[in-house]
Amino acid sequence: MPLLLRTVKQHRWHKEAAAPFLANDDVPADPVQDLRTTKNLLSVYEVAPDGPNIERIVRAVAIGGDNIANMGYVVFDSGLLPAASIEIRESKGTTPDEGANAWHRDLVVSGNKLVALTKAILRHGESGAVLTVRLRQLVADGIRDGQIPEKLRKKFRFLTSETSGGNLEKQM
Amino acid sequence: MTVERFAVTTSTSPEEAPPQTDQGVGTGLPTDVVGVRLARPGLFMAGLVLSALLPAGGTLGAFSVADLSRRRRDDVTAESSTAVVEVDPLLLEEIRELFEQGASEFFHDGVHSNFSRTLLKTLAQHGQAAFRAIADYLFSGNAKPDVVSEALRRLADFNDTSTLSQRWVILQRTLKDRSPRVRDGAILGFAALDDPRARPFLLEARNLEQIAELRALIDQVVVQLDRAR
Repeated sequence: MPLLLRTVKQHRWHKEAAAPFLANDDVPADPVQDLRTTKNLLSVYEVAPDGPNIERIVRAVAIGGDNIANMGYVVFDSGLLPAASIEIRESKGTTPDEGANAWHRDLVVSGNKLVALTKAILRHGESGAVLTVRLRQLVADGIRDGQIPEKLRKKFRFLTSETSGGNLEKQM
Repeated sequence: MTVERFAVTTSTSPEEAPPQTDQGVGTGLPTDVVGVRLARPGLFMAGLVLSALLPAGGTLGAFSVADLSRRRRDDVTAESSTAVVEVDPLLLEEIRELFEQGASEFFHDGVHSNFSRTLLKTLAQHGQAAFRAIADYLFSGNAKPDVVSEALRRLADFNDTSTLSQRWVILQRTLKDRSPRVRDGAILGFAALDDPRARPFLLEARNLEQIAELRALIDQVVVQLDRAR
């Protein structure tokens, strides 16, 4: 079964912090808040086998935000969804990266299903992060190779000449 | 509030001795590290901690501030060779309020918050004085982990060369914080600084780290720093 990715704040998904909750068949509340829904749909992205598109997915989400800085994510097996009675729908994404939008999926959830999914991710999923320097390099690469649309080039222009840290306040 | 100035001379421990590199040893920081003693214990501790973390001989742990500045073309400036580190009480109060208000926010990666916007504006407006006040507040033990973690990531990324040594000291200290969320912010802060001389501090932190995800994160940052060499 394909893997699914959701961008989150990684430190809310530390397994050790969640262990006491899971031991009581419960979940910590903070990670649930990372799974914001719209009209009972949770936005996720399908990861290609061995994860070659993970960085592009994270970049696509990041360039839609306020600033290009470290971004965390969780990855979990879509095989976990049936046990939580969660339906998965193909749905084109809305990020500025058209190529990444094809990997977008919607999960149809309710409150209980969201908690069940959180529990499943904490038990069986993995978290990770794309660091600031790498993410800025990816954005610079995207601008150069045309994966990031022309209209965003001005927004991220400074990254093409300086991709190391220390640019945050320029993005305010 | 009373302010009592004092001077402390520190020494570099063998573990933190500067590595034998071809980058030389700078003397950008004072040999006499000076702190400030305020009426409130937290303020005293912050001044003392900031002072003690600036070792003698112009070095910042395993390297010199001049080394930092050479690589990044940063013009790191010590305030003076015998500067008194003084925390502005009004600014400290402003920082305290900022962090307390920020504690009610829920932070998301890649998205500015009211806290982050105000923090960056305060840093831009007050520079080194703001970092002194932030250090004072952070080390008072009253700050909430989530907002500290967010602050560490933001302040590390602040593009002001004159505050590099202050940011470094704050990150180095919080790398050993009791809260995993604070340590996460410190690790990501060092990742944003992207300076290979953070490597020994990160490896030391990794040896002590109990959280698997944070050990993996440190490994990821170390790989990044090794590429930057």
